[in-house]
Amino acid sequence: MVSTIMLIQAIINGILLGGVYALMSIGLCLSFAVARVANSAHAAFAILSSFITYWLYTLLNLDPLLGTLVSAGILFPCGIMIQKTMLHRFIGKGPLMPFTFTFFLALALENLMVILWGNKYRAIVVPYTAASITIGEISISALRLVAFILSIVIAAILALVVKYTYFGKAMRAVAQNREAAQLYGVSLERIYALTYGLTLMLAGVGGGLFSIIYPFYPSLQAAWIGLLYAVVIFGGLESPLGSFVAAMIMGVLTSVIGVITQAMWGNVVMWIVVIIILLIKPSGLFGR
Amino acid sequence: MLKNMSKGKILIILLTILLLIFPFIVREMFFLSFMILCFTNIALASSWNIIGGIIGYPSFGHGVFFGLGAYVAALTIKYTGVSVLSIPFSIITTLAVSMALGYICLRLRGMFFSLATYNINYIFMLLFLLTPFTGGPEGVILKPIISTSPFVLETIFYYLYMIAVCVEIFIVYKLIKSKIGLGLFAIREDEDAARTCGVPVTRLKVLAYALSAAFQGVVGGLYAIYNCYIDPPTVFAFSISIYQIGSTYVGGAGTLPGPIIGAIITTLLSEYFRYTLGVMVEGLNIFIYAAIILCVLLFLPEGIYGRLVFLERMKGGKEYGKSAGSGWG
Repeated sequence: MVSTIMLIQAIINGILLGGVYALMSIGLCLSFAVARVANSAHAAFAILSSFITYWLYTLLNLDPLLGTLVSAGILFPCGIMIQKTMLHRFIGKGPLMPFTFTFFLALALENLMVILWGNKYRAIVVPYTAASITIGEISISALRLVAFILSIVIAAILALVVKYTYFGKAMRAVAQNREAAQLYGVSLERIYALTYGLTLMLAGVGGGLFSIIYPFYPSLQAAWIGLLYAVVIFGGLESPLGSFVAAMIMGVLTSVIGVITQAMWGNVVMWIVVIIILLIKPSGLFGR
Repeated sequence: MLKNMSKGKILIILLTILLLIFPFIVREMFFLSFMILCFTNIALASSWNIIGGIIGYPSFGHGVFFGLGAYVAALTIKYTGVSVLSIPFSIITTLAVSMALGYICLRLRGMFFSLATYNINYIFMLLFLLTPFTGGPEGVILKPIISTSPFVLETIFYYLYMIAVCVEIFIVYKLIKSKIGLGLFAIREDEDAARTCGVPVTRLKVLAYALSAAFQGVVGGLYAIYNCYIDPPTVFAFSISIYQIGSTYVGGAGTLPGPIIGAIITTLLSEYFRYTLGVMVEGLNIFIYAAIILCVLLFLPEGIYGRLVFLERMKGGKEYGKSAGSGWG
């Protein structure tokens, strides 16, 4: 039987995991709202970041939490390069081509990782993996708590950047009206490149944090990107706030269902919820 | 009599005769198996083309109907023992499911539809893994339809697949030439304008989705009977969805011959790579496949057939070619 304590435990775990999901879905939202690129390679780059974090820890003994930031830093110029060399060809040709392109990019990246490191489970085990904070009968994994706090902090920094800096203002201007932004002297190519870099950086942080909590392998990305898309559709594709809320709901939902029955049902229920939302409000929870 | 026919028609007739006598020329199992794989990919690519190319609604989890068709056929045979006659059940089920799904998901525009259908494939795989009625992770095991030599069996399936592909291509051809086809092309160009002109947009979209799903169901059903064994991870594999999309884009989305050409080329390439590179390093063959598709998307977005048509028009007249070329991409 499922006790109340287990349920509360599951909800807390869900919220903590939801933070990491939220960070990744915000990245997905950002690139779509600004650059009209639905980044299908998001999860693939997240797994790449997991691997970078893993190797930094195994080879250089760098703490995975620091390693996450390093790998995010590596992915940022990668994103700019990909936008500058490949994705810029699709600017102004509708959202379908970049979507398809990144889809196959994800396939290529996944198999590159399979070639390099093999398609088997890997996990990062640090001395403080098992550390936890106990309140009454509920124990909270310290690692998940740290991952959650880090995700929230990064999301907050991002919100400040988007609100107050020139780059953020230009991004919002492009998202609202591309032609008008260009008339005011915003360079589309530069903003697109920076946005894609930022997107991959967020994917990198999410993937790095995820690698500390769960084991991972390259082919996980196909299931993962589907899940992220479900979250983003649920919350409304162009609304970062919506995907934040949706990610939290999804985290709690999958975690609670994982306690009640098999964890796999979590994905099924999530998808059914998304379908119901689409029936009632096709633009998503927070969509316009 | 021959004088009255165009070059294209003669070519098609010759090709059909060649395909008909193919099993009697090459008395080799390997070539027949390869041809069956080719037919499968052609059928999948040209049915994906209806939804992804002609009306421009790329459905990224389309392999789900392949899996569904395979499962319905296999379960019908298992519980009633009707053999090839189980294919109509596959068609009915995929039609029903795709209409229900299409009604919900096709309210979304273009790419949003792709995102919503993205993980249908995965979800159905989970459903079939979790329900005990369908055999769960063990899958379904069938007996061969008739007990005879493997070569004769392979030949029978060669003809079954060939009939399926020919019927499908004929239907798609008729669809493109019909009034409905015009409506479908109008939706791709401008959905709002099409709606204003009186095209029943929603009905046509659901029709195209259901038609394309039904073809996938037929191929899936044939696959189940041909292979005699199915389980969720193989028939709901995401690679099935990926390969049909890749084939369509290589050949040229939205044209009739495009997916056929694309499917033949990609099948040749991927089989070649699988037996040469794939056995050396795991994943290398798929990596190269993906890299080729990426190059096609970057440098040849209209596909091989689309480029051929374009070059043909360029030859026709420099002036016309130039003006047509400017708006082509």
